[in-house]
Amino acid sequence: MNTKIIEKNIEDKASKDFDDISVKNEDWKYVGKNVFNINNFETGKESKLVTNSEFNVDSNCYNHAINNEIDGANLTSLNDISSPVVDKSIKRPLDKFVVEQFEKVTGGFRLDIEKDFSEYYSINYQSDDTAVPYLGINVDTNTSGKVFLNFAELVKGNTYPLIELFLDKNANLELIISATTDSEIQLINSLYGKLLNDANLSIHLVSTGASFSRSRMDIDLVGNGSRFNIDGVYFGEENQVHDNRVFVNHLGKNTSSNMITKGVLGDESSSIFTGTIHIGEGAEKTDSHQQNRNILLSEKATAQSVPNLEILCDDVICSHGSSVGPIDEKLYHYVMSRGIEKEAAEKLLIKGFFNEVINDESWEIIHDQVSNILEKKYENVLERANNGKS
Amino acid sequence: MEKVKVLKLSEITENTSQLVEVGDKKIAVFNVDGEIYAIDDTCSHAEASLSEGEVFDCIVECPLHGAEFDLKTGEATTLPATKPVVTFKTDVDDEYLYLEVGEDA
Amino acid sequence: MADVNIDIGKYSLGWSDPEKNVFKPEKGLNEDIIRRMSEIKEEPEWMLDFRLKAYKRFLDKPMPEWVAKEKLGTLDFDDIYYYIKPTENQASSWDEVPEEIKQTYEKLGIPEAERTYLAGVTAQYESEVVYHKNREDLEKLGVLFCDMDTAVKEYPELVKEYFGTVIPPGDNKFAALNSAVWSGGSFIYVPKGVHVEDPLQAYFRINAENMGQFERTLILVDEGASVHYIEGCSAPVYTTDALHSAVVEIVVKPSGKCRYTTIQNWSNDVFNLVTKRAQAYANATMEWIDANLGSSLTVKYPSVYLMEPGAHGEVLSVAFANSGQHQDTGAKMVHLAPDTTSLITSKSVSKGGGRGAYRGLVRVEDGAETAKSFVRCDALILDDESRSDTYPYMEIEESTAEIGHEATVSKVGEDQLFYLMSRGLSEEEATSMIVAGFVEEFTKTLPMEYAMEFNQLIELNMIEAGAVG
Repeated sequence: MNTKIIEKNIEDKASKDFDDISVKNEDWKYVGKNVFNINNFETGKESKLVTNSEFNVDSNCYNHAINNEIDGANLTSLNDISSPVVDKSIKRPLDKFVVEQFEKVTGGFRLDIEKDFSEYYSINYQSDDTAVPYLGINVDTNTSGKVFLNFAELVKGNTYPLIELFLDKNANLELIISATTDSEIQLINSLYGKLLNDANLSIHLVSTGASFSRSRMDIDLVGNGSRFNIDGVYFGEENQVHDNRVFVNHLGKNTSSNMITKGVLGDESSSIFTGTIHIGEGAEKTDSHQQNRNILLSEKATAQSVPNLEILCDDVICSHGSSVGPIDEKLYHYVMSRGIEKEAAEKLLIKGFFNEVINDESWEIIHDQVSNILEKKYENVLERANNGKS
Repeated sequence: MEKVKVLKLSEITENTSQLVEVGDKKIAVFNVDGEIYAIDDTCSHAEASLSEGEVFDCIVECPLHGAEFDLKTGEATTLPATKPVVTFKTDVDDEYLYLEVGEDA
Repeated sequence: MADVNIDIGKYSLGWSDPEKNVFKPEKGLNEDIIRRMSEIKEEPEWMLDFRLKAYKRFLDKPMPEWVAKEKLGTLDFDDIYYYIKPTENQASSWDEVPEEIKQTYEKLGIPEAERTYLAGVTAQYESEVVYHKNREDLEKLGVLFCDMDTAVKEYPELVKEYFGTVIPPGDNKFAALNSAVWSGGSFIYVPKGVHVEDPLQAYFRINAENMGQFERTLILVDEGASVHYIEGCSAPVYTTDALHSAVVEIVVKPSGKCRYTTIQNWSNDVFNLVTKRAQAYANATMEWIDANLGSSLTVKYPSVYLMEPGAHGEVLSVAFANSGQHQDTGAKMVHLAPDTTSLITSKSVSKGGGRGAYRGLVRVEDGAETAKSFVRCDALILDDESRSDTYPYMEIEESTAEIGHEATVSKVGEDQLFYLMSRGLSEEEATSMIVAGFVEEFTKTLPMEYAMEFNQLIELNMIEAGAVG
């Protein structure tokens, strides 16, 4: 465990200084039963984190090998880092859970992006027991890189990733976070990003797995001209809960943020979309837009949405929109009038619904995989619905 | 449905209330002028415990937002509650109070 | 954009009559004062019990932490008068009203309004309804329209059935306070199938320094009936806090329709904390039309509980937050039955360091099939000292419901401003015109005279940066 990152982030607060996590707490209001077992969680002794470059870190951080597979991306084990990725100057909003994450980090590393590269640097996570993997990404000035964080089949234990991003002036980072594990675990991600002048951060999110998948992102657009884009898709089946919490702080001038997330909820799953776009005093010419669209496919599916705006500057353009509902009747008629059966029509419309996000070229490396998973999940829901009827 | 023994009658004196737990169900038991009533402890409007509410004439008032429920029927008689709470059949013998508790739907 | 040059003038409606009150108890509240109040009003036992129970709730409940914590922290409950009775008895015709009070109403423009638009007036002065007049037509239709105090005594069964059922005393700290010390307010009952053509209205104001206003209104619209109620009020300028904590309960029975319009123009020291809630039954419609200007802090979320299929709720809300003002307003719609619909439109303008916030809830319970709800909040920030927030909550448990929410925040467009100024308008006039256009949706629902007064109030607000006195 690296005390340096902990000191910088927690300062002199301790877990006890924060309210306990419960449904009475605004931050955790909608998560229901999932809130149990989050307070004072225990990490597993055998948790391992593995990257595709055979970089192994086990929970005791004994064995590691640094292997620079991509020129320009440098990996350093958590124990060896000399300074954290993010400095102390911006006060980070914390809750009890984030404090616990910092205190219980089970391993991880720092990734420095020092030269441009255009292929994705992949990190495949693996855990068998409760793990808190840390990842700090530092992107140098005028440099651009791409990172793919894969939380797929190998993630079998509760995983609580702690991610910190620092983008120097004119840095560029594309980040794909794919949470597609089939396991019935909790995947709760806390991500913080700090952007200096003209930096650009794009995050692409896929959330189809884990029984409780929650992502909290705090992005500080400190530098003038910095930009943040996030697009994402999620699909809930059975009792899954997909919880997205995004806080964007526009602090510099001429900053922009754009967010679009789309989800389909089947069976008894639910989606939660909360967060705040905060535009500080003096954050002139901010341009910020946010959209969250949900389709409820099954009777017992639910959605909760609380997108807040706090605007302290007048010279801004800001909008947000949120919708929940079944597929538009008119679209059905349009498709079915071309001779397509209702079921096939629904499948087509849902595909079209997601395509707006996943057909973008930045999704190319995972497009097919995501498209297949989404289709499979839809079929699962349909099958369950049909079985229920017979 | 099964009959579950929940309390000794002497533990629930006149015009008092108690919270009992049967499995993962929380049930509020009230003694109103000698008559025993039992309803779901959680208010149907928000996370609040009805066993902590005041009772007037067989109506219990939720301590959080003042919604009132009829102890006999479970019906919500004022806003902001709009759904009733479940009531449980009570039975007594010499010493104990029993409640008829079914399985979860 | 250059800041609009602000001429800090006097608040034009701020004056105060030398007090002429019959009974003036000490500041602060205790059980004894409540008992005396109830006795003077000659209330039935059940109302005194209701008040005392509510007083206990008020003492038990903590101050809300989630809104305007700092401002609310300055509220000193012991520094307020809770009850004053200005005249011996209610007057039933305009001639019988005491002169000073008549003058107050003349200044507010009531007599003129009465000639053309009024159906009847109940006017609240210092916690009591002083002047009351029912037009004969209303009486013939069986419409009951009187002050709440009278209603408690004359229509006890009707009142008792509904009083405190839409907003129980334990609902929140300020509803509890109102339930304990309420005085005045209107009671309206519209019988089945009766349509009241002209709007019913009331004015009320705060006069004595540190006077609290706790009027309580109950409106019952029976099946197939309809009514439009308007209230608009103002208060004089004082440097110490004045508290206005009203409760409005409305029940609209099947196929009934009720529209409740409020234009509030409080001076800068008032804390305006109101609980307003309606229940709409099958195919009934409830509309809250709300304009909030002034006050140091306004916290108000008109709500509609859509109880049965076909019920429809609407809130059209406009808030102006000027220097030192904090408007935290919005709406709540709770869909409990299939085929219910709701529409929330919120327009907020912040200037001179004011803070406007929209806080709302759309909740659709499981089973409210094909419910539809749409929320639109737009905010205009006029300078870089001001602030606008939006806190919309959407809690959807029904998969067939269609719910949408859109919000925008922006400043006055440079092009629009330039265009108007190039036609000879000053920057203030141009801004005022643009703002008037921004809230036009609201203004066009008002009877003409109100619309005129309202547009004047906007101009006042735009050109004068709140009252300094």
